[in-house]
Order: sequence, then structure tokens, then C-alpha cells
Amino acid sequence: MTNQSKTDSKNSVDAVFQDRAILAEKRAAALKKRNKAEKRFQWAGRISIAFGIACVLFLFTDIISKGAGAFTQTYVEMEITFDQERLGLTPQSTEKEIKAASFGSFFKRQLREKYPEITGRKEKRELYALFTSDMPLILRDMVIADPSILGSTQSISMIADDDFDTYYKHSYGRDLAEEDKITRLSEMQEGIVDSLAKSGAVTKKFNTILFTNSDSREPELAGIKGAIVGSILTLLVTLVLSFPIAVATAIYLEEFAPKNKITDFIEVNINNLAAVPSVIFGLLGLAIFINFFGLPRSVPLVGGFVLTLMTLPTIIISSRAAIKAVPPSIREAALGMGASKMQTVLHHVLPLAMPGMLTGTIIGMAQALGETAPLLMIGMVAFIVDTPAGITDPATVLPVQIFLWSDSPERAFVEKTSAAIMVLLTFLICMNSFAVWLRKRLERRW
Amino acid sequence: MNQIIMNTAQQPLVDIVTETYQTSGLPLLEDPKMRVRNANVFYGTKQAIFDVNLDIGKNQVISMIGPSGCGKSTFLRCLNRMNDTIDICRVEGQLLLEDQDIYDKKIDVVELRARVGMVFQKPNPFPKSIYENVAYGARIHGLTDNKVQLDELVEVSLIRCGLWKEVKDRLDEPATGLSGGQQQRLCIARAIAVNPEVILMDEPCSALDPIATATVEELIHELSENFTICIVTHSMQQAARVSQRTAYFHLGKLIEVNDTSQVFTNPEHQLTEEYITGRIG
Repeated sequence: MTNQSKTDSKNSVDAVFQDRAILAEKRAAALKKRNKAEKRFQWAGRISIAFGIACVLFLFTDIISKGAGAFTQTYVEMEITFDQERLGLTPQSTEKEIKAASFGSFFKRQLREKYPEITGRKEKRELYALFTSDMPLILRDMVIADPSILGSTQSISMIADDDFDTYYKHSYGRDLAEEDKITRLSEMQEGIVDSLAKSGAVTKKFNTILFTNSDSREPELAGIKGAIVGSILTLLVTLVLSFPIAVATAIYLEEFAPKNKITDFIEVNINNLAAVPSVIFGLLGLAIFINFFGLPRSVPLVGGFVLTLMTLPTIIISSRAAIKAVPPSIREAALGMGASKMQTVLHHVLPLAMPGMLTGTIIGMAQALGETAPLLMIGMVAFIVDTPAGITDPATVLPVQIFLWSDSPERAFVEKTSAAIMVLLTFLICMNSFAVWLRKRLERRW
Repeated sequence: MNQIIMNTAQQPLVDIVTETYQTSGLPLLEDPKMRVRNANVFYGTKQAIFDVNLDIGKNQVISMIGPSGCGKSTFLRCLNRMNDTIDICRVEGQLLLEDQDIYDKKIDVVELRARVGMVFQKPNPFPKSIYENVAYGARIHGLTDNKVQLDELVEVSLIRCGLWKEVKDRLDEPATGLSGGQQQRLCIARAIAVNPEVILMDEPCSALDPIATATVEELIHELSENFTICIVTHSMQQAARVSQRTAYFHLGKLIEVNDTSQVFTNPEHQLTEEYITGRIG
């Protein structure tokens, strides 16, 4: 190599490898840029989380502020004299006789006697309307339960009508302009309520009716018991059907099925089904279970069938993921010991995959619990006053109950709607926390 | 067996093995435990094992060495049909366990694996108790009649693996809580609990530290009195320490089989020599 060529090659090397000082500067500039980009990235994440939390907070404050009122109910303490003569009953009267007695007019007369100054027909009706329309029936049931109270005077907590309730909760005792008052009461009714309240007869108690009654046209008597029982029955059917079917499907597809076009096709279809809008499953249920098989409408059995169709893909997919996550070394160990394929799956793979499967199932169930659209299709949207006693009784479910109440004109139902949403959310949060807990509890390290 | 002779020390280093070849050394024995004749293994269209002929001696330890990907593990897994689990894997040729073709349709693979047990590279105890791990084989094969017998079997198996003293007070604790070496010995205890005739070991010490390795090697040595052991290993020292015979695999072909001392001191084939002196592998 000549000197000349040596210098040349040195020059070209210099051209490629620049001065270290310049490189350091360039590096510093690049580093600054990188650090900035990382900061930006972090902030983007923080802002997204903050936005998410804000949305959740807004939702919760809105629901809780609207619905908190529904957990209390206004009662009026009032002395009622069970006059034997007026009722035409004696403590020896049979239940049939008591049922035939006219408690309606008896109750109205009692009220009229408390307010002798009210004379007009319209005013009288307004007076009666301050109390729930079921009040005579409640009095009758008291007498049936204990006929010995006949002839005595009892202090009774009377359920206030929803308009009374709303006025008392939101407008009473507040210095509000006439147009700001949330009330449907007439001035005369307001006067009665005000005087009752001043005398200390009006009390707010925890609203047990909300949890012990089913749906009603009267907001003060409407409860979610029927909807909760309906939801539980529907979910029970869903769970009993979907869990074994999904687990069996997942195990077969993962462990036994040959890998070929047919299984690929099945897999694609399962994934597709997971994305099908739930209302379609409702229509399918309507066509197959109700029209073709002739099962009754509005029953948890059919609701459970439909929700099973809907949750199956979810559970299958999560179960397959759980089975896939079981290390192959465990399978090899079992097979190497001479365990058959089935023994390997039942003794080793399934127990290890179970936490994942159960988590998937609970999440699927939570999804099913919140589902409304497919149930509307099969008629679970009906107004049902009785609490369902079995899976073939007409029923409704919590989200449908919320849907129904949100549509009702009475102001008190706004409260009830939010309260029902709170109960539903509580159920969902409980189920999801249970899933997390279960996962932590059953998870094994290997 | 194909009779083309070509493997001599004068051959070039690479590409020395062609489609037909002859295994150097002494691949065949009298009255062996297992006989392998013209074994070819394919993964799909790719051939992994070429025309292997090998006898595995009774109550002997045979080690299989060779560079990564040479097919020694694949060959080992053919011996108890663990390759059945791989859909695309196809095994041709004759593999006999005491004159019984193990790939015969009449052979139940469950029965075969009870006779030919296996220990894997990574200790893989079941995530159950120590007791359950050892008792599992006896349970599924219905080997014991009652709890007392099962307890005894578990104890004896653990004693034979030198694990009894260490775990006798915590048989109900999870096996995954043991150290790596203990786990591997537990896996061996689990394998011998069903009293197999042959134990296959696929690099049983590669995940263990030197002390645990020494313990396991000692155990292998003791077990060879009663069991036929085939061990795949990457460590030539280990092969030299534990085995009576050594088989050298190269690119799916069985290059040389001989007494271990012979292989390591005086290899016949050039490839074997290259490998044991560290020039390839």
C-alpha cells in the first residue's frame, strides 16, 4: 500500500466517523428529543387515564345523586282506630269475612275524620291521594295477621304517595320559588304535608319496599325484587348451560381436534360469534325457542338460552386461552408417565386452566347480567308484578327493569331508575371483584 | 442395513454424511433390551433421523451426544412414542422392546410408557403435593391395592432417589416449592415409582447447578443396576461419567456407537473425534 492510498483511506474513514465532540453534541440533541418524546408519551397515557376516571366519576356522581333518594321512603305516623262496628268485624271473624270487609271506605272515613275541614269532593280525593293506594289493603292484611287489634287504636306507619314523597324529599322546608319546586301536589295538599311534617308525624326510613316488592305502577310500591330474582334465574340457566358446553368445546378444540380446515373454520366462526350484536341472538331465540320449539315468552328459561348463545363464544375463547397457557411440560410429564390423553387433560390441564376459565365465565356472566336487547326480543320486557318462582314463570331482569322505569313519566321513577342502576352496578362490581379474587386464589405458579 | 462404506478419516469435514452410511463402532449387541432397526423420522417432509440402527443393552446406561439439532432428543422420544403427540411427526423402521414392535398397532401407548418412562430436560413436577407426584403413576396404572401399599411405594421410590430424608416431613407440600435439583430427583422418583424397564432421560441435568448435577449423576449410576437408562446429554464429561456406552449423532445420523471409554479415548470416526475434541458442536 502506498502512502497516498493510506491517506485516502484515512480521509474516507474520517468522513464516516466524525469528530467525537460533534458526535457528543448530536447525541445530546437526539437524547433531548427522545426524552421529550418519552415525556409526551407518558403524559398522553396520564391524560387518557384522567379522562377515563373523570367519566366514571361523572357517571357515578350523577347516578348516586339521582338515585340516593330512592333508598329512603317517606312514612306518615297516624293513629288508626280499627272500629269493629264500622268494619262490621269482630276478633272472631274468619279470614274470608275480613277480606270481604270494606277497608277502602273505612280508611277514607278515618282520613276525613282527621281533617273535618275538608269538605269538597275534589279536595277529599286529593287528601286520599296523599297516601299510597294500597293503604286499605295493608290495613286489611294487618287485621288478617292479628284480628285482636280490632277495636283498638294503633299507631301506623303509612306509606306516603310518590308525589308526597318527592315533595317532602326535594321541596319541603326549602325556601324555593314556586316554579322551582319539584312537586305535583296542590296547594291544599302541600298545606297538609307541611302541617303533618311540623307535627313530627312524617319520617324518612330506609326503603325496604325497594328490595321486597316487585314492579308496580305506583312508584312508592315498586321494587326490584322480581327483577333481581329474574336476573338470578336467567343467569343460573345461562351458567348451567354455557359453562359445561364452553369448557367441553374449548378442551376438544385445543386438545383433541385435529388441526385442519374444519377446525380452522369453526375457530373463525366462534370468533365471529363473539362480535355478533346481541340483539341478533334475541331474534334467533325468538325464532327458534319461542316460534319453533313453542317455549313460553318472557321466561328466564328462554332468556337463559339466548344469553347462553351470547356468552358461549366469550367463555370458549377465554377457556381456550387458559388451556393454551398451561405449560406443555406438564402435558409431557403426564403423557410420559403413561397417562392417557383424557387423564392428562382431566388431572393436569383442566385444574391448571380452571382459574382462567372461571374468570372468563364470570366476565361472560357479568356481560349477560347487563344484557337488555336480546331479552326485549323474547318478551322479557313485560310488566310483571309477581316475583318469579321458577324458570318458567314470566319474569323480567334488572337491566330491563331499568329500561322500563326510565321510560315511566312519574318523577319518582327517575329516582328508582338510578337506584336500580346502582344495584346493578353493585352486582357487576361484586362479580368482577370475585373474578379477580378467584384468579388470585386459584392461580398456581410453576 | 445399507452397506455402502464411506466413513473414513480421510473424508472432508463438512457434508461427510450422505444418504447412505454405516455407523462406526459397535451399534449392535447380543440380547439387548431395545433394538432399533432402520429408523427414519420425519417432521412433515423434513427428515430428522436417517436410518439409525442401534441396540440398547440391558441394565446399561447409554448416552447420546451430538451437536444441537442432531436428532438425539427426537430419537430418544421415539423410544416411548412421545413423538405421537406431534401431528406431523412420522416414524418408520422397527423399534423393538424385547422383540415387541413398539409401533405395532396392537401396542397400547399407555402400557408402553409404563414400561419405558421418561425424565425431561426441565424439571416438570405436577403442581401438586410431593406425595401426589410420586403416587400419580401408580394411581393411573392401578399398581397398588391400598393406601398402605401406596405409601410404601412412595417412600421406597423417594428413598431410591435419595430424596426421602429431605422431603419426608413435607410430603403434602407442593412439589414446585422444591429446589431445581430436588425437583428433578422427584421427577426421577415419579418415573421409577411405576417400575419401568427403561428410563429415558432428555438432558436431565441441563437446568441444574453442578452440585445437583453430581447428585443426579450418582443416582443414575445407582439406578442402572435395575433399569436400562438412555440419557441424552450435551456434556461429554457427563456422558463419560455415567454411561457404559456412548452414541454420537450428527445431523440426524448415528455416526458412532461404542463403549464410552472407547469413544472418548479412541474414536473411530473423524466426526466423533472432531466433536469430542471440541472442534465442532
